[in-house]
Amino acid sequence: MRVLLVEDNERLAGLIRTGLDKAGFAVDTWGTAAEGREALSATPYDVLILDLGLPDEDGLVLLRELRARHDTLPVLILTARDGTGDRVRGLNEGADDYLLKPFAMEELVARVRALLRRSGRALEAVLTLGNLQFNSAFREARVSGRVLPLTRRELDALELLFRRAGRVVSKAALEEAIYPFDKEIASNAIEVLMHRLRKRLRTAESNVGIQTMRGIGYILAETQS
Amino acid sequence: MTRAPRSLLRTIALWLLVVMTVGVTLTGLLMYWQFHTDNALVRLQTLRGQADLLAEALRPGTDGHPVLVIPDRTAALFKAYATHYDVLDGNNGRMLQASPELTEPLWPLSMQKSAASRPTGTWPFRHHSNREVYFVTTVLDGGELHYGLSRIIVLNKYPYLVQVASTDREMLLDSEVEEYLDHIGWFWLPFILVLLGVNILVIHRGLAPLRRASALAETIGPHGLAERLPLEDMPSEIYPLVEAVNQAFDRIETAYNAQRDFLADVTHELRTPLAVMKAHLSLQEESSDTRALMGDLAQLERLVLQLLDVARLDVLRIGELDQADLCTLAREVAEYLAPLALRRDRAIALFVPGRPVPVHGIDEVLFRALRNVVENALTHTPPGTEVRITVTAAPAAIIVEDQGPGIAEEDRAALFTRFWQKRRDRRGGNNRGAGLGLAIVARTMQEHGGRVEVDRAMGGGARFTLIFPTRDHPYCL
Repeated sequence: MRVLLVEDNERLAGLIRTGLDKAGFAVDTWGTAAEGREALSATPYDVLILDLGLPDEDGLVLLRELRARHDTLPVLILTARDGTGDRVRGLNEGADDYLLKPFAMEELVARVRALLRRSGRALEAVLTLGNLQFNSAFREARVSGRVLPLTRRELDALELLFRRAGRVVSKAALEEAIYPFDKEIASNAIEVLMHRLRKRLRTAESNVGIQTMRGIGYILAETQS
Repeated sequence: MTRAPRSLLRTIALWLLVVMTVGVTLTGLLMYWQFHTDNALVRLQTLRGQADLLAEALRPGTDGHPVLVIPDRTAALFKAYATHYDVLDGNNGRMLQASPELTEPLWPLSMQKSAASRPTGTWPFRHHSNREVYFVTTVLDGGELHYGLSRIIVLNKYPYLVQVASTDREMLLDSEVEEYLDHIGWFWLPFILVLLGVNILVIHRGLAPLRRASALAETIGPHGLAERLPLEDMPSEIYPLVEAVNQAFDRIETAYNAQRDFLADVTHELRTPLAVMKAHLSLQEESSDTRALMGDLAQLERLVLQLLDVARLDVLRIGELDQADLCTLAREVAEYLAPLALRRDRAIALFVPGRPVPVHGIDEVLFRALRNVVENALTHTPPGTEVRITVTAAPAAIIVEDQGPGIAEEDRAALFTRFWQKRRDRRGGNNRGAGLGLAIVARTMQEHGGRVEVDRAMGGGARFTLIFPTRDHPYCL
């Protein structure tokens, strides 16, 4: 997976590069918008990490050019600006995600991974969390190597939770993903589904659980000992 | 204590009234005095004329004393003036001739020389010469005030006194003059009122541009710094003031923009090295040192970000069209903090109404405020418990309840001041804030025309309520 990082702070760029290297990405680093533009035209990248406060131009200009030629390259904006509207402006210009400095390296790696998955460029075949594994190619889940017997909908739900592991998946998002064509589903359908899924995980002695946040949604996370 | 500002209009009206009252009084007095002087002159001349006529009417009589032969014209005149007259012997004071109603002399001879023994009701009025005495009397015609003249004449080398008396009523045009004065006098009152009214109207109209400027000035604040007071139609006396105010606004706007730009720069300059440190640290082999440094860094980051939040609130402008939905806001904050809560073995529950609750405000700013409240609640609620976020539509509010020890009533007021932090939180841990969080919340709510309240939740924990003004509850009761 090839990542282009356009960031003018050399130290930060070097650190991000190291972090992404460790996570298995190949990273090219440039410090100006002009160099970034040149790199983009020469090499096919899978993700662009773009700082907005570049010395020669606003990073948004580069983003705008990219989207103007219908390039769907996933773009993660990195910025120290958090003024009102900056985030909205970035997303309106076609950024896929937005990360405010200072950020945790794990967060950056997780966001890059999520971007790749979402764009379909790098669907990791096997997702892992604790002793739970999800193979999206074979569509099966395993706990400590043993296949977990799940229905199609349970698998759909688990995959969605897995792809956003550690973050909240709202009930509405689950409904939309699992019952996309059903106009009227029972109001407690998701609750029932989650209850079953949770029970199956527990029966299989998984150390991953589905936490309910009332009124907010569900989080797939390792259970604390 | 400040005194209520003095009304220019009232001051002018008051002084106008004083000046006009003094003017009218003086004019009246002057006219009265003039009128009386004129009256006295007219009266004296009338009496003298009558005395002349009486003297002319004396003819030498048979017994050596003269007789009165009054011509018709004189008789008519005397009648018209209701003149009393008599003629006395100049040596012994005997009344020789008199108008029929008189039994006593109008002015006895003894009085002509000395006023010592005057009869009751008669006074000398003014001595003009040795020959003439001017007097007043109230003994005639039932006590009416008469003016009289007694004059010594010499006829055939023998002295006589001719005396006439008459009332003002007959002698003067008096009544007409006085009536005229009365009419003029009554005219003064409406005149003063009209003058006063006109003055007030003129001043009122003259100040209209100032009032418009005042109304506009009230709308000038951080949200409308570009506005300036209108200079057209401004009276020249006030023009410099308004101009000076506008120039002051120019300077404030410049300073404001400079501060905002500076803040944006500072934000950028502070965030980048923090990002470098954080990235650097996270790439190190994990040890007790890196963990400690991570904790310190998190605290530093939090302090910096909160200070930036505080500074940003100082230059916050809420636009006319800025709108935020409390439900979306609460959901975003809940989703944002849920993983953190989970890591700390706490939970967040969200209760929102089925429809949006729009308020006038900036969602990013409100997001940070609500995040501070919920983070605070997560810090104080015990492990295994839940922080409840509830959104209500009427009034538009977000309620955050924890199940912690609650906040003592005496601590509640200080809670929202900067750097206040209760000792209960001093045990350490890197979730300890800079004590700015709740001050930011209070300030944010204030900027949005709302407020934050703290009291006791049902279960005994703390309950924070962020209340927003809405069209139905504009004053945020």
